[in-house]
Amino acid sequence: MKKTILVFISLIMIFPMLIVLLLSMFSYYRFPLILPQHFTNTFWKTAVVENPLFVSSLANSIVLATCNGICSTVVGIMTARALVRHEFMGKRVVRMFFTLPLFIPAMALFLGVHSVMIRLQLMNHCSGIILAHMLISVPYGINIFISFFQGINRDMEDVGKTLGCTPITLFSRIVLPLIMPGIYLSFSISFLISFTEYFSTFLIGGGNIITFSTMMYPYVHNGDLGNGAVLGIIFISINVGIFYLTEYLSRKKLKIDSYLFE
Amino acid sequence: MKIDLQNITKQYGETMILDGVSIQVKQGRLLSILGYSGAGKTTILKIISGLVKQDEGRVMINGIDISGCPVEKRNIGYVFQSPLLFPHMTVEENIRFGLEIKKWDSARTQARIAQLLELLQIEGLEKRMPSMISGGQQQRVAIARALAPEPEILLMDEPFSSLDPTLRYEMGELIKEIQEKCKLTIVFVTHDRNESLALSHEIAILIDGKIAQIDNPKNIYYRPVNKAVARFMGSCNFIPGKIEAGTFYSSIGALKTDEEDGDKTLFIRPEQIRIDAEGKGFIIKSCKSIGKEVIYTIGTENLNLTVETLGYEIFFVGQQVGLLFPQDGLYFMTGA
Repeated sequence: MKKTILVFISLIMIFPMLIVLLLSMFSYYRFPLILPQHFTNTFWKTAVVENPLFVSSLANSIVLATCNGICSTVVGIMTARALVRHEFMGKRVVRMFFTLPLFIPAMALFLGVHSVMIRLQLMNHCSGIILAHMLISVPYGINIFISFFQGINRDMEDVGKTLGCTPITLFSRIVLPLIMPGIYLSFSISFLISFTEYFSTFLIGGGNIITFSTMMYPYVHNGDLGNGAVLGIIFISINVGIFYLTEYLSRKKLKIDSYLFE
Repeated sequence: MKIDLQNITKQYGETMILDGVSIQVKQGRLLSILGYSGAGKTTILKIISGLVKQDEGRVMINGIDISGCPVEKRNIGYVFQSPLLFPHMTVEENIRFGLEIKKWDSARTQARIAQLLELLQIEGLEKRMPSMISGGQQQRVAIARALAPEPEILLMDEPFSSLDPTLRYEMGELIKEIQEKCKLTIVFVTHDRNESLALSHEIAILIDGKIAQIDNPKNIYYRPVNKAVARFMGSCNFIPGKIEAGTFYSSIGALKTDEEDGDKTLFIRPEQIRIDAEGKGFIIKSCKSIGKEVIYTIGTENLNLTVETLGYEIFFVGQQVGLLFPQDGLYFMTGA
């Protein structure tokens, strides 16, 4: 019974992707046809090979997403560490401030960010886009690392100190290995957020910086289903690829199950 | 003097945890600090190790004030209440960790690890992860890890409190053996008085943030400085009375003594009193058997005494008995 439901749910999720795949390979697929007709590779040719923006936009996206992944993870680690290990004035306010972007509608948030970026002269700059993306991804990073740091017994760090660790060796030899799964997780989430973000990239990039999602949008928007489907397939594959890569890496690192939270 | 704490004071917010604590430990001795939970025992260890900074007072090691020295430079071993092994390292890597930090060469490191594995009887576990060994073994590894960089001082914070009684006894013996072999100076914190009586050369009793008494186990047990220390070390009897011309007069009768005259309180442990079935003057008011011994409450109209005897119950409630007190070595506290 449980299995049937699972299979059913997966089918519901996979079915639309299947249609996208069919749309990218056949030129004629209309109602009431059940199976599409006229197999063709023209869509793949025009959307990938002959598309002048394909390589540059994909490269832009990957660079921006990687930068966002690294920055959000670093900021997440530092903020979470401060929130868990130290007492300071306005701790709750800081925590709330960092979760706020999760509740405010993206449209309202980025209109505000837009005017700030103009003043900071970061419009049409990659750094502006990364900062905007970080607004959405940092809260995830912080919350991931808060739970990781809470899982590390403070006394374990004290053990390290009594064995002669300086704060730097303590972090690199004890803390870092223990939060490694969190780093993979936070990096992949931030990467995917940046990679899939359309609105803020478009707004802050001002049309000068074309990423994969901004490049793809006009195709879908204009009803160019064939080419849109090709780009969609590539988009999905990259996302799924990143997801499974991090899953694999964190599994490999985490040889022992659940050693945290002992 | 190996460790010399001078007038240590520590306050957390409004609460005074340590109030002018002074403790001396000689080279190669084992001192245990006894006190109720939350008395500040752990804080003393953390101050010696440098993990916590004292508000006032000095920490001297080998006659040098190390109050300003950071934790990582002190080379003091610390064993915590729980093993706290690094979960991402094998047993061997855990023990090796401190040596790597101190940059020992590999031949010396290997030799030291082999020596510790043998000393703590954990050979064969080197390649296991901490989650795959038992609690007792984990604590042994933790001790090996703390001992690895050859510290001269080892601090232990209730290291066996999570182990079952038999294992606890075994570990106590092991610690004693290691202490003698390595000529270590150990400060051992516990709230288990039997453990500390069995292990220590000296015991310090910490009550309300102050050291109430610091002495050898025998004196702590039989000659406590005040009633609080006496009660902390186990059940006891206080008999108020008066000494006049070499005789102690009280409600239990007259006892010979060579103490000075004045109002005194006789302190006596329950197992020092013997019951005389032939005698008279006392009535058995209650009795309770706890396995190897029987605890009687015996008394007169205005005085109740606790008496412990080995074996099973041979007296019954309401029976008239006499009590035999030791003739010498009686200990009196000043005042009523």
